[in-house]
Amino acid sequence: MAGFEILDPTVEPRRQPLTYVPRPDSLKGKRVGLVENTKFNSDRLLQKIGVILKTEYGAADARMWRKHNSGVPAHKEILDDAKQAVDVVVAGIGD
Amino acid sequence: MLDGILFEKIGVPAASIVTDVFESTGHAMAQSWGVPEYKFLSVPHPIANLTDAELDARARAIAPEVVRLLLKGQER
Amino acid sequence: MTARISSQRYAVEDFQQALDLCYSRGWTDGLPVVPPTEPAVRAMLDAVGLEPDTQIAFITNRQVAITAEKVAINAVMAGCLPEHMPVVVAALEGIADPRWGYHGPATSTGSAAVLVIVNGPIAKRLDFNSGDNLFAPGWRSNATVGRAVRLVMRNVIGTMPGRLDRGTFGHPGRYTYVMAENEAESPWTPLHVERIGCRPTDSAVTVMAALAPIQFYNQLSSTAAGVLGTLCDTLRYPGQIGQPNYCVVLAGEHMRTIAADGWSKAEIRKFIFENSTNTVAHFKRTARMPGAVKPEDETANRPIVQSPDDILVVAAGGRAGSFSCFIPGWASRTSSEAVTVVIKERSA
Repeated sequence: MAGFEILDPTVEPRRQPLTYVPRPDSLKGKRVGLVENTKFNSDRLLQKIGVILKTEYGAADARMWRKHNSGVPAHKEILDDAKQAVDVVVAGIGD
Repeated sequence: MLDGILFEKIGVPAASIVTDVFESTGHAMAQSWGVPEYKFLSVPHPIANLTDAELDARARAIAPEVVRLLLKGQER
Repeated sequence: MTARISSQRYAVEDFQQALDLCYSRGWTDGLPVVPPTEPAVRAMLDAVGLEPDTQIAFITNRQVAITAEKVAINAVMAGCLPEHMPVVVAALEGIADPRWGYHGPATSTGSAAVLVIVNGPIAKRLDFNSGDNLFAPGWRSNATVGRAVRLVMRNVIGTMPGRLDRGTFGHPGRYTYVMAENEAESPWTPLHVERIGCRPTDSAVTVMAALAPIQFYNQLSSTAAGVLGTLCDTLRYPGQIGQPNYCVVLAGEHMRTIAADGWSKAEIRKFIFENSTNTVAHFKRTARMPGAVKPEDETANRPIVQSPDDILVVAAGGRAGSFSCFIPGWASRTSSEAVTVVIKERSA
């Protein structure tokens, strides 16, 4: 085979510009959503973060949702609920 | 990590946290979703075998960064 | 077919330069690949009658469309023949299925590979191995079809070690992990007929997120319960509590022993489900479940799977040898479940 062409087997991700949501000025009075990824201690660590956001940063409330499993994004019920029920979300964490 | 991006898309400001060994994976996911510059937070790995007191310390250490990311967001 | 191939082209002087380019770009699985030229890629597309830009699947979690063109390129690189393309396409449709849940098995530290079980007439026609050395090298179909799937996972879906693939160990099944069911000698209903009601004349693949095989030995039993009792004793201790799918592969000697007792696949599954439980106390003592052992844990039995239907029973492996094996799935069946896909073949 002398002098030939080969084809690229890869795919490049395409840019998908995201318009970020306007941020609040502070967490005072804000409702916090915590989305835990089902991995061990994720819920406990997020819950502790939620307590600090309330006691030290004035957040009004912190409520937790648990995903179906760590391999999927937050499911529709969580997204729909959160849109109505909270002002900010903290999501994570473990393996 | 993807959850943070999805919450932004539905109009809820979010901060994502991973454990530090997964930072490369977080960046790769952000790249897949077309936002390679997406910022997220990390805590030391692992967390599964931590005591309650150690989890308290982790929460204390990351909370100011969570607040900063929630309030300042992705535009810097 | 004259539709445009849109992939970027690289001019190379000779085979060695082509190979060096593929290695330097990270496009291989560590083994040499066949340089993907346009004529070879077009032959793959002709074999499935698809335009290059036809979308085979979309991986939602990765926001990636898998096109026929990219599958064809990676299939050429893997060493597939055009006749293998329909099998590769079906396997990819399987792992893109939401029930397989791509992100978990592909990215997890848990190191699953894609087990591909081939059923139907295509297995014999394309010489997929279902017998001796079932998982070992030597059969082009087994070697290249699995390899093509992994190359697509790497090159198209971006499943690269250290980034979107964090397998702590991985395992050799990530090179290829393809088997056919030994339908010719099996006394049982083929897997694809059982799972989705295929006709025996249909061909299909079943993909399962899978760890490495674990074999067990029983030379002494002449009954189904005897053989499967040893299986259950081995299968009870896989180290995971998540209740994933399991694939049980019964090789020649054991297959004949169990069949002689007149047991169906359903009876095999039921026996395994009932005889491979562990107590919650045991799981807690061995740090597979958190928390202190409570008195009630000593009698709380936890089966290895959520339902007997989560156990895939397949007749395959050598005629000789008092060995069969089981293959644990990944995580839990609710996080990733085995998917069976009919292979769409074009008539000649």
